[in-house]
Amino acid sequence: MARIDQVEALFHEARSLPNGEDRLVWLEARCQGDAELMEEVASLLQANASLRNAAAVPPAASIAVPTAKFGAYRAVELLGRGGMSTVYRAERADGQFEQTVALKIMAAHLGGPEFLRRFEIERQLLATLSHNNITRLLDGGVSSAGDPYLITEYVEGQSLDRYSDSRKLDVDARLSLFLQVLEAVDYAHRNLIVHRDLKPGNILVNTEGTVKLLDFGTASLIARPSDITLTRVRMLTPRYASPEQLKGERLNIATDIYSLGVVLYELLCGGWPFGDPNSVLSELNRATGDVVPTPPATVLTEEAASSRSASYQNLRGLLNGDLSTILLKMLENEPTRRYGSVRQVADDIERYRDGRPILARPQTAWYATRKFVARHWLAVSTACAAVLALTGLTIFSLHEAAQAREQAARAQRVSDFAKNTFLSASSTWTSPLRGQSRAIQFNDILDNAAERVPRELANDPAAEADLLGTLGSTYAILGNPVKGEALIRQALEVLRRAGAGSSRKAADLDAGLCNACSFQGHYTEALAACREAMALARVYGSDLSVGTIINNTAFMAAKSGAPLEEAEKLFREAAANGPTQPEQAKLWPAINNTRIGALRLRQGDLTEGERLLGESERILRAEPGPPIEILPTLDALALGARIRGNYIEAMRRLQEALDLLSQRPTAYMGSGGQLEIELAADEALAGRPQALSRLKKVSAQVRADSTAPTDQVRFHLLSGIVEANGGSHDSAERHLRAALETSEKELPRQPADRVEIYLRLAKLLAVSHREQESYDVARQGLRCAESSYGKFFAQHPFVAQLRSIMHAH
Amino acid sequence: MPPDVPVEREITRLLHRWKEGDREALASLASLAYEDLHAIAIGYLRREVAGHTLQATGLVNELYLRLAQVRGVQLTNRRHFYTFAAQLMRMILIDHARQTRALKRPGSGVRVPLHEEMAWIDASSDEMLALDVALDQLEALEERKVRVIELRFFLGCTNEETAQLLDVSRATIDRDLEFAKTWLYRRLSAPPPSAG
Repeated sequence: MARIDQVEALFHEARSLPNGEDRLVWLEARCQGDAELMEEVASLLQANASLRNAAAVPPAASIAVPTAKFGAYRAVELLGRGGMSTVYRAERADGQFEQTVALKIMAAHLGGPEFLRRFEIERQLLATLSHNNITRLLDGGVSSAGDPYLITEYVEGQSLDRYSDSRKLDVDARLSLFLQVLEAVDYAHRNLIVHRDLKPGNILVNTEGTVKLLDFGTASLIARPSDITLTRVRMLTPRYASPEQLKGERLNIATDIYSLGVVLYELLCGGWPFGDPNSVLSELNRATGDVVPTPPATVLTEEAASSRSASYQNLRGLLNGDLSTILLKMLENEPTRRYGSVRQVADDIERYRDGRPILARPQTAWYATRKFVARHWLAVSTACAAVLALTGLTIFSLHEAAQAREQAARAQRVSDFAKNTFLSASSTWTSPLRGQSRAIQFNDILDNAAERVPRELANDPAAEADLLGTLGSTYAILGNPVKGEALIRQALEVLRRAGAGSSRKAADLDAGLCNACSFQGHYTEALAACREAMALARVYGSDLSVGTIINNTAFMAAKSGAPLEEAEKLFREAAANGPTQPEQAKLWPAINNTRIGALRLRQGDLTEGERLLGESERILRAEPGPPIEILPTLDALALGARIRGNYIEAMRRLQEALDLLSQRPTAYMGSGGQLEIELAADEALAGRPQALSRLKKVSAQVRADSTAPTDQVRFHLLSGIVEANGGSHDSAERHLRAALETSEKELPRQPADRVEIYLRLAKLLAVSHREQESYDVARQGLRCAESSYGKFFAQHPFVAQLRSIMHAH
Repeated sequence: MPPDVPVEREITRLLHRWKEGDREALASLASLAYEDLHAIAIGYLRREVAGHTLQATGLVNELYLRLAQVRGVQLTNRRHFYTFAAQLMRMILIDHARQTRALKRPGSGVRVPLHEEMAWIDASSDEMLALDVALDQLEALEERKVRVIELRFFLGCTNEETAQLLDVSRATIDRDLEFAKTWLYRRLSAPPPSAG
């Protein structure tokens, strides 16, 4: 054993001896004749005794009251010191009349011009505040000694916590005081002033029980975002500071709400929500959001209960319910998760006191979810990408099928996690999301990720663009394509700024942008993005195969009104450039043949169209499931059946598609309504009575899904069919004429689609006994069919029907 | 005030090097942290900091956060960081005492105790220089005790935190502190003719 260790061991041992025992005798025995050792330990023990006396001396220094003149006032007695100022009780020096005031002398040397500016702001701020619960500013200026000072109303009182404890106030009385605090802070906020240093020491209660808020010393103007103060010399009180404050971030009213949360927490249960309040290291954990407040009931002690005139059990019970919910909502790490205003906090507390249900929801589920996302946000984003892949497929094409399915399974797990969290929670409370779609719940998770990306990946544009793009695509699919589009455009901008505007990554982003635009029905923009993606992918390659992008481009071309032949040519090109991986390549012909088949049908070529669709169906049905990619095939087959007049078969096809969709609800978003309205049309044509109610059920949704001309034309045509067969001739005519007009005006290069509109309108006019008009429309229809069906004109069922209408005349 | 971009970048670079084992980088980091720590040390010596006890930890947290928010830098060795900051704080206070003496500034007449538990050391005077020497001597005997003193009295950590940072039990820290304080007190109140 080293000498020093020996000495130390004996030192500690000797100190732990019971009083009365002679340490020197004990020591001598232990040192076994080692006089030097004994001498060393003895001298340390002696030093230790005098050290204890030295330490017992209080760190002295009462500071003399300054003798300078502060306007009409002079300092009388030191009241307290803060990081930035010293406060005195003061009196009028001119003896004109007796008035006791508080004098706050600012520590001028802390600052220089910046400080003086802040001081000036404080003066102006305080001067604008006039509220019964806020100390009034009486005067201010620079003293004869050169120190800036403020004179405020003098409050004879105790700090909020001492006042409450010394009177053993119960919870209700404490809440009542706290509501006064809230009123004052709310008033300040409405005047665009954030306190930023709310703590019990700044909240006094006077002898009449009126709360007086002190010290807007660190207040800032909410309206001035430029006024961010990084703490060179810390001015805040970490114990009551919000995470964003600890991080030195921009502050707003949410910061005060957090600090008020800590104040209320202590006021109600007597403990601090984050463990040991003296631990400055825990500050860091709080700043990084790693710390979750302890539920108030669990920090309650017998002593704290008794100083609240309550039994431990009772108070514990009280603190377990709504109060805990209110507190934890105030103490959310993320400012946006807190109450939106101090008024809302006050309202909830009043609701609680009145025994009405509060509006805040227990946060446990949120914590769990957010913690989960925080830990796994990358995985969540990746999983979201998988959702994208899956839906992208159903609308356009299949790519990377195997991988997509595996990722989709992961997405499902993540989504299930979120769902379960909410569902389990909603058994005891009303979920704020109840009644809304699952997609929106998922969006909350995305919001968290979207917020983190720019912050955490700012130095890595590639990664930032990647994740912004992924999130954007995911938003787009989960029902918020507007936000999705914005995020993807942001991602592209990040790439451009980093000089990577022409790259493989940009190609992928453009492909994602294409989706986001198309979900809003902005097919022209979608097409532009697709073409950009295609051009880039040809040069730089892409995560998607070139064929996939061409496939998307072709789809968009058709949707945005390009000639159908042109779209068809692109689909054929896509077919030849498909993915190479066997698993993916297998379904590729089916996917493209479905599209080409549908286009052949629309151009009047029923034979080739049905052949291609039959082939696609055969390939897809050979797969287990069948795969979700069969949806567009079924849709196109139904179209073929309708043209041929086989409405029952069309209904069967569409019903199968809808059943499939209901089993896999995240995929094929927004298209369920389209399928259903088509089903309604076929039902109407088949004379089924349910057609009208089905149309009513989905029509608003379908109209909202897209305002794109192609979709509107389709909507009006199908609605017209249903209304006509339901007997509402006027309404049917309005729909059909709207379809015709939109098609002629917006989609002049896709005349083939107008043939059916002419046909349905001619039929409607015929049954309305408007023979001449019917004849004219039928003739127009024939002319249109002749020019757009070409060699398939003669055999086309629509043509036969149009002719029979004209002959009947 | 807006974040100081060049400094942030510099910090990032140094942190990467530090992470890769470059001790020099740590020294350079020290110079970047120096300004912030210096401000709080001086404020403390002027007794402007609330509570009258030196608590540089808050500022160190802030510095740390600024570093941690930089992408790619994971300060896995937080312990190292605080220990470093505590040493830096000691350096700053000693420098200040030395300068005060060199300038032969008349003292304010107000004693500023290094810490309430070390009230017999005036942080703004020659006593600090003597303490510095004593700490070096103690370090030669047992290094950890000096780290404990630095974290506890120069940075303002609690006993619990000091234990956590040095990865020893709270009881060990309590004993270390008692012994080290006694040892330093004896050395400073009656310096023996020879070191040892």
